[in-house]
Amino acid sequence: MTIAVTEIISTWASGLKFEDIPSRTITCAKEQVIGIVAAILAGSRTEECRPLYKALRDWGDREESTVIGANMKTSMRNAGMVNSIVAQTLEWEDYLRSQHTGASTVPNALAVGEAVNAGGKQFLTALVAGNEICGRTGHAYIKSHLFTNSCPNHQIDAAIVAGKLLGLNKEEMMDALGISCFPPMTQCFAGWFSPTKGLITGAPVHAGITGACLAKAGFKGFRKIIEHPDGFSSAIFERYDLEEMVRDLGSDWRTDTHSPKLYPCCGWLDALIDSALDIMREHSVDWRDIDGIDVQSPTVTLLLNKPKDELIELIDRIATTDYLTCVPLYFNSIYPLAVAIVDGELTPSQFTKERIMDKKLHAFFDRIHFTVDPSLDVKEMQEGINSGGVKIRLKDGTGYSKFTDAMKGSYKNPIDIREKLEICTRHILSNRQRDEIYDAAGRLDQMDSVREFTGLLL
Amino acid sequence: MAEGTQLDLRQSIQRLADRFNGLIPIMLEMGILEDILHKKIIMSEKGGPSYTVSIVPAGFSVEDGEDPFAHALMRTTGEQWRKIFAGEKPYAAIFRFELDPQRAEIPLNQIPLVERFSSIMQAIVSLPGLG
Repeated sequence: MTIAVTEIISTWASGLKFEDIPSRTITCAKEQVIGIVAAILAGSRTEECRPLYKALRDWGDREESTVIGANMKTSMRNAGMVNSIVAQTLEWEDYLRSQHTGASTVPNALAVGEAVNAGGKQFLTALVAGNEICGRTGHAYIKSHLFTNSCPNHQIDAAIVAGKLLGLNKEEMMDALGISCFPPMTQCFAGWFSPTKGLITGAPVHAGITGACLAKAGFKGFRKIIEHPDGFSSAIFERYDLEEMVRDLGSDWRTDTHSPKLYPCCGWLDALIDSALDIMREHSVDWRDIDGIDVQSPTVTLLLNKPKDELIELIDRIATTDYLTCVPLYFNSIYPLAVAIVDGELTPSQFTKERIMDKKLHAFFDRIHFTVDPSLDVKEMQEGINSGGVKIRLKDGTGYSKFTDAMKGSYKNPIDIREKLEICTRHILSNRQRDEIYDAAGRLDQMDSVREFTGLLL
Repeated sequence: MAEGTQLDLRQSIQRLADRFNGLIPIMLEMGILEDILHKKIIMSEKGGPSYTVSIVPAGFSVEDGEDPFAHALMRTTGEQWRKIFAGEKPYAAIFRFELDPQRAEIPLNQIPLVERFSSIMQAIVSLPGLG
């Protein structure tokens, strides 16, 4: 029998109260807000995002929601969409177990919350509701050809977040889902070469807010849209698990698995970057003294691996073609590891079109050798934890090894979120501004209006 | 396999099959084979020979030619197959994040199976101590 997913999640989300949510979950949600705001601020300074802000100014929408880091306001639909695109630009946002989430839920909740003048508790409740649904739909669709950050499941969580903040009842929430999820969106991997990659969450956020607004005005949607055999799920995904979408809703809090990414690259590389940087720092290794690097990784890390000749050909085309971005390099297994070892860090500075063309860096690619451990894939799939190890061999015969069991920032190896805020906004905010954002996020549940927080984000 | 060495696709697939069969018990236990069991996949060289591989719990077998009822087609150039069997890249990388669309043509409904098989192939050819 088909599970009435649309009704179940609408009932749960519309009825969710702040008091129902464990304090641990609220803490994770506040950290998520900080991490995503940090990623948006970093993305807001990229060349590829500037035209977005120009377009918003040209449109001249009602000024109700903050465009983060751009010193302007616009309509909640377009603020949510653009902030979401920008959150994705540097592949520096976050995920819950198996599903990228914050780039969709946080910009949406901030934009709609500010527009409707939501209280802090109302804002956090909507954010958690969206996370809980997104974490489940992402996992439910994970065995399809679209998975994790390529998964177009956000039309569901976007309608939930916006609908919750607009105060929709159960039936209206079902309508919002019916509107948001029709027509279903998908995405093409080829577009990841260009700035459009951020639309993976940006376009669904726009659709979700629009759907919730139309539902509030009385427009109806099909109230079985998610689970119907001719509905949203079957229109996009060749395999999905409806039970997973509602499993343990309200008792197993997926927000608690919030994992902010410390580096602007695919999370499947993070444990290797952690391991390599730890060795370089702990043993003061000079990269010029390195003879070879042996990497132990899950198979999935090599999903997009390329031989050196093809990688250099790709880099050359990225560097010389104006509509191509460095996004494919965020997902390559060799480039991020090589440049992190040579530069001693992995930030957007390592992905400029000038930096990627360094011939000395290209020569270093040859020193990296991978072996795979499929047991690490099982752990990745079951727990959403990236792990891996690096052994660095020096020319003088010495060697250092490090295995990272859970990447830094994962829910099994948490970081102080201020570290990410500092790295992302090093060249953007003052220490005082960072402290203000951090402190205000910690007080969100005490704020009468979320505008007290968004006022810091212009 | 040294660069420039001519590919013998049949021989490469057979070597993969031999390694694969030795790992079946552990792969079954880990649930790695879940998505590719009882599937037939064509592995084909552009302008060259084609083979059909069958994956069942008892083993991985290879037959000449293209089975018309195969679940997926993996076709690329001999040079790309050489890199794949050398562990330099997984098959999936010839259609994901690839600017040159001539390198592979994969029907949408075959992508999950091809990606899964591609990852398993990559793992097997990259595992230490099996060469």
